[in-house]
Amino acid sequence: MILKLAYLNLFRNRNRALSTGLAICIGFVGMNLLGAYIFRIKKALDTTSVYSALLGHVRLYKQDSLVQFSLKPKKYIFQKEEMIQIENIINGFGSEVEYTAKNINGSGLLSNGKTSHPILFSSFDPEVYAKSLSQPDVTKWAKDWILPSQFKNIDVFRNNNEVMSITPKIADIMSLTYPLGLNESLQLAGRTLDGDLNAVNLDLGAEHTTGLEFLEDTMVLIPFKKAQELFSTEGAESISIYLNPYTNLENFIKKLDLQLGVLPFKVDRYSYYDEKINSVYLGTMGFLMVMGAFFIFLIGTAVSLSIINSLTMGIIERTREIGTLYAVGFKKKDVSKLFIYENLLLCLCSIVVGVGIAFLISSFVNSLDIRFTPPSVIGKIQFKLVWNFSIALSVAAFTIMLTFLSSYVVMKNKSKIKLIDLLNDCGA
Amino acid sequence: MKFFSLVFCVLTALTSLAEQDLATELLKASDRGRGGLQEGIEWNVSIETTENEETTSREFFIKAKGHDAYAEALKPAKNKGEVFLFNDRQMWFYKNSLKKPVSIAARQKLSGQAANGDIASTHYARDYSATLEKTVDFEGVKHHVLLLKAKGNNLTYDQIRYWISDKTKLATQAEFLTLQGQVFKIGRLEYNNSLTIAGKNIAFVSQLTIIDAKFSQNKSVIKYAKPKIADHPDAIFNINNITR
Amino acid sequence: MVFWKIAYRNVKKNWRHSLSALLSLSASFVSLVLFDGYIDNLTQMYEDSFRHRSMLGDLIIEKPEIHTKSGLAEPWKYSLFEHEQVDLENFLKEQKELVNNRVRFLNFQGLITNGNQSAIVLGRGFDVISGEKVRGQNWSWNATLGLPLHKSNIEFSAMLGQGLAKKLGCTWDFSHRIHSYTGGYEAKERSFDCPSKDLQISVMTSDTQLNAVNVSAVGLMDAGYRDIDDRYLITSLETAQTLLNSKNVTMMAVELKNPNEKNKFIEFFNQKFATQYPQIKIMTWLEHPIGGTYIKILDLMSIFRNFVVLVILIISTLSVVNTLIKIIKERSREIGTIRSLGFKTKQVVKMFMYETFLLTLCGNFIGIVASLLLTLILNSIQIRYKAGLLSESVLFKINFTFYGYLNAFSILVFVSFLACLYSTRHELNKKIIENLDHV
Repeated sequence: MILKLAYLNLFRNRNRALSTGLAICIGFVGMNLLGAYIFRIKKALDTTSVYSALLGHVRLYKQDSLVQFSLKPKKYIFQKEEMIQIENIINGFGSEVEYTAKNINGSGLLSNGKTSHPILFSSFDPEVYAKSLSQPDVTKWAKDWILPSQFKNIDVFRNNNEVMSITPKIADIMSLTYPLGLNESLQLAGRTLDGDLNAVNLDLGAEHTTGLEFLEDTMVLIPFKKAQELFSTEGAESISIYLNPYTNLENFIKKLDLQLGVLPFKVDRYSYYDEKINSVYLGTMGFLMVMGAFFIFLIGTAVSLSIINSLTMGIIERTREIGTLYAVGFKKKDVSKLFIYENLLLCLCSIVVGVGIAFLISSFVNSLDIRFTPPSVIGKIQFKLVWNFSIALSVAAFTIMLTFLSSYVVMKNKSKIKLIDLLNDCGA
Repeated sequence: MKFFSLVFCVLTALTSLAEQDLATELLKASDRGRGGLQEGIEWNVSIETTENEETTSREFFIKAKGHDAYAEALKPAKNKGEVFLFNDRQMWFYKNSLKKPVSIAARQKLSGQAANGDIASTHYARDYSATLEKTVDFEGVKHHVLLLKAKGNNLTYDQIRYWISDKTKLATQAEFLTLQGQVFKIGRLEYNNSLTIAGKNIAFVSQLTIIDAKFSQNKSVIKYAKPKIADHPDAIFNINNITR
Repeated sequence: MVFWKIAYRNVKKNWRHSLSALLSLSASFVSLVLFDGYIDNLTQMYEDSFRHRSMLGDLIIEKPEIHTKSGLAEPWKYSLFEHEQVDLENFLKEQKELVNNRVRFLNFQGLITNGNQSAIVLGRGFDVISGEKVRGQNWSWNATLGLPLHKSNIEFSAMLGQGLAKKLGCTWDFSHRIHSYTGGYEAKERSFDCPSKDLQISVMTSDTQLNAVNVSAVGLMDAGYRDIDDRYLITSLETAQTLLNSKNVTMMAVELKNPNEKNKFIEFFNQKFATQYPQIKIMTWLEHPIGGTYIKILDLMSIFRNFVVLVILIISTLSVVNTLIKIIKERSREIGTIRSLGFKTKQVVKMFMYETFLLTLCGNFIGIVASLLLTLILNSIQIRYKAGLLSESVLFKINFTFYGYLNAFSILVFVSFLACLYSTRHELNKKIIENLDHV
């Protein structure tokens, strides 16, 4: 009955209900849209980190290798036998793991026979590259972060296992012409694990972007076999594990850690969002989370006070009514419930409308295809808002809680007034 | 008084000139013991390098003539057939699997074998001007210490302090200096090989030990074996010919 | 005057109704100024980072071709030569009323070794004494561990990026608190251990001669970005010039006494050097490639700021409208009485506008007090968080900005006036008799 009364009371002062509802709605929409933006960035970062940066969901290194490999690669490389042991562990996870890849990073001199340019290289496996860039998530979330030519690279790498990928900036520095495949092959010189000078042939034909300005003139991708050839090794610096979309990462990590612990050699395990291998991810998300939290705090406060304001005015107006309700036997608890339900119902209606508005605004903004360049990123990305049900639900829950708390606080305060004072109140 | 000053000045000048001539002559003579000959030369070389707590060993067959040197790796087996070509200060690296040689410019050679290549160069008389710094007893033998200054700006080492034995006219120690005159590397030479030139046997370098002056645990020992005069055609020092 | 009196009395009389609206206005005020203060602090932090911490001052003098393809291949060709530096120094002396300090920089690449480990190093030499002055009080002590260069007595000393130090086997205690309340580091020597602090840097000079210098690692620093921190080293300009055997410098940074006189200084500079040294350019660090990231950050910040302001303003407007509609409706009879006494519509509106203004004033005043209090509390909590690519966490701080407060005040007054106009319009459109008949 109280609920029914609460519902009917909403229509008694339509203007006030409308403006309060609108305030809640706007606050909800604001938080929802911010959540939509952060969600989009997070998904894009997740996808680019795992798939286009080829980190995998989990990466394994020999202990301390992350710091020391570049100085003492021979000591910190996974030997063939060690890799077999790790692979056996990974195979034990069955379908939880979609595929794995081995990696080697290093530095060297890229030469076209006339000039040489110092570079850093990261290796890739052509099949892994193909699988990674073909992931539906990549097209869905990270298209802006990847050059269109990187998708074409899939076939290029499959057809020729000596093709490397360079950035447009390196192509410019080395005065290469487009299409890249028309250029003669390059040679990459570096030091083997034993410190000898060595070099390998690499064909041109593929292009990529690192996504980071200060790496654009340095970072190249070379086939893993070529990296092994350059280092004169059968080993690998690290092993990347790519999980199936349904695999829970945290559970997988716990199980993996247990199994890695029994190996005769120590292994460092990093998730793709670990600061040590992906500082961009942590930094960007950290910043967005702080902004988001701050924003929610401010909006929440404004919405909360709006509700308090409206509720207070309503109580002032209906003071005699409240007194009458007490007089006919309604308990203080019931009257409080009535007002709280009124606001909760209003909140729910606002949320429903807000969901629609948020969805419409997201669609509209996305259709405008607004482009901007985030800090340290090459090129422009679309300012996109991805409406997400889970986020909408979380924001809705927060808004409902805020509404409840605001209403509860006001009612607790007001319910202390005596019956006789309520009945004598003029309401203005 | 003036007369004696004049005589003194003339004598000093003459002494300086004489010392200059001596220094130059000593330098020319010492070059011969290390391969600085008009004729072409070839020898086998083994290099054992200890750097950053790791030791590696390599063997090369080297042909040298004038500004140029051709070094072919012999051991270990995995490196066999690799070629380092030095045209003056330009270095090339090539092996059969490469479609083109890798050019390593002088400024990109900072460590390892590439840096050693500059130290093992043999034409100091051509590249450096010498002045006699002092004469000392070094390891019980009288030595002339020369200060070599690069004639041009394009040599890796601007200054070298060179110990040449008065008896054998061969260099036994070299200090490779930084531009500020600090010792960067130290080279120690031994001459247990001999080489026949125009019917005459001359002592030839058998070992060059290059030690990091600051971190003496880092060193390279280059051993020279089977040196012989050989008339190398210029074509073998042309990178285009090597890659065909 | 009478309207002000009426307005004041009405605000007092209807304080209960007004309280919630006041709170709503205060909340909006607090939201606007706090967010503005946060953005301002972020902006200031980045600006401080470029201007002081990186010692870039206000203006950079260099040959822009150094950033081109040929500049990358042969940087020494595009450095500032000795004779150019002499002329530049003389010019700076002539402009001593405008110039506070200048710092010269020389960049280099090479190999660093401690005998057991070698690593590629990206180095920067700079004027240690003037650099310390440009860093200012906050960043004078720029060493996370050990000593800053200006405190070292050793002739050839260097500070390493923490990543590079780790590669060379250095270790330290991570539990030290290093940040000061003002945003820099606590000026205190925090120890670190290395297998050897005696290092050797070797480079190839512009004449392709090998050269080396022995340096002592006296301190460690945060290079700002992780990928750079792994290879970074700073030393005195003298050390760098000794190493490269050159008197050239890569660029010169100028700090002005008054940053607002940048344009004036640029004009003088161009008048003097445009024909003499056409390849030498002067620019703010915003225009320099180094400032590119900062501009993008500012752009992103302004998107967020505009979004937040919009949402907050809409909510606060609705709240104020809500309150005013109720107040005005309840006073319909009063409006009718006043109108029947001869007050024109405009005068009635004026009365309510004054009332709204006083309400807004009170609301903003409460907002100011709450904002200052919250600012104090949040700043003293010292929350740290990771921001972007920066290798170290940054302090969450809110600035007091006078113009931010003024803007928030003006916006809310404007918004309240609009709300008042909207609210009164309905009642004033009625006939006097309808106003008087209101129950």
